[in-house]
Amino acid sequence: MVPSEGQILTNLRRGALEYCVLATLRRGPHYGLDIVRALHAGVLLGSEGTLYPLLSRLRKSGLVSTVWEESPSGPPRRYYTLTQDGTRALSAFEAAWSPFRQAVDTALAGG
Amino acid sequence: MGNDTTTAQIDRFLHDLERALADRPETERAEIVGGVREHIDAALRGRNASADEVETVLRSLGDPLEIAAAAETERGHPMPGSAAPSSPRPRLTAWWVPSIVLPLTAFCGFGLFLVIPVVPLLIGLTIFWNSSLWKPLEKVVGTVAMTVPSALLIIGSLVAFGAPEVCSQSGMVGDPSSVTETCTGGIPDWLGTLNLAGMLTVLGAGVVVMIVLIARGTRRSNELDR
Repeated sequence: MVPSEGQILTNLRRGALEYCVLATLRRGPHYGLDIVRALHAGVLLGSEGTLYPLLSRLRKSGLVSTVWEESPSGPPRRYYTLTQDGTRALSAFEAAWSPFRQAVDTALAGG
Repeated sequence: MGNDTTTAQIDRFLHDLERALADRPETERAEIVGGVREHIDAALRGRNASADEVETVLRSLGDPLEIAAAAETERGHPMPGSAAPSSPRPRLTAWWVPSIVLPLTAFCGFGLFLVIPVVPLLIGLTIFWNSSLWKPLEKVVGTVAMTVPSALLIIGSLVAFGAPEVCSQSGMVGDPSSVTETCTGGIPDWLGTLNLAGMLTVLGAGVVVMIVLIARGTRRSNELDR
């Protein structure tokens, strides 16, 4: 069976999406919708709603934490921030990613 | 934001999401539903959104079942270096190790004096010792419980056969009443009875030990499944 582009994307996201979320938070606290907008939904993120189970796990793993902030309209919202562990995990991913991407590009180009 | 129709649309979506997440722990469910609710509020912020706009926001969130499936995937998806890592499942801890392999091994061990199941016994003991379901002491006790009763039975039989009873008759030819029988060797009856009682006690103790170890292994394997 030949995997579809959608299935391949799902598999690729599995390893990379959480670090893209962490990278977004490096620029400061964000709330969920901000993260969705920063992630170019469609490529990095499948359905926008699937971000929230991921955020829940990242918080449980101690890589992000949440703070409540008053919203100008409506009830307070939770903002997600990067923890020290999250920063470290992100650095580790970055160190691994560049050689990984280069190796994949080289393999695809070399054929 | 919103009139009655759009509020009902949003409420239905959140309600469906709650139901789809019914299997998840309460805190996780509340966190995900809360995140999605805030997402919707933020997307429609301050606007008197039309039903179409609400529909667009809900559609890009995806199907509640899809979100619940993502929550299921996140489970047991540890991140290296994280504060709450869950290690990969230790080796040989699946349900079949305590509930099939160990009973079969014990059966072979108890039947060892029949000299048939040596190879399956050795395979079973290897799996038992390599499994992470039991502590080292339990493995020692289990191995003793499975093999010692048979070993004793073998030794016991050797002693009995090694000292056969020899009987001879003497007396006057033609006078049956004068015939006396004298026996030497063998083991006295009381010793034989004691021997048998001892064997059964050891075997019974072995069976009890194995039942306890099988129960412990099964419970630990089930805990790992959660």
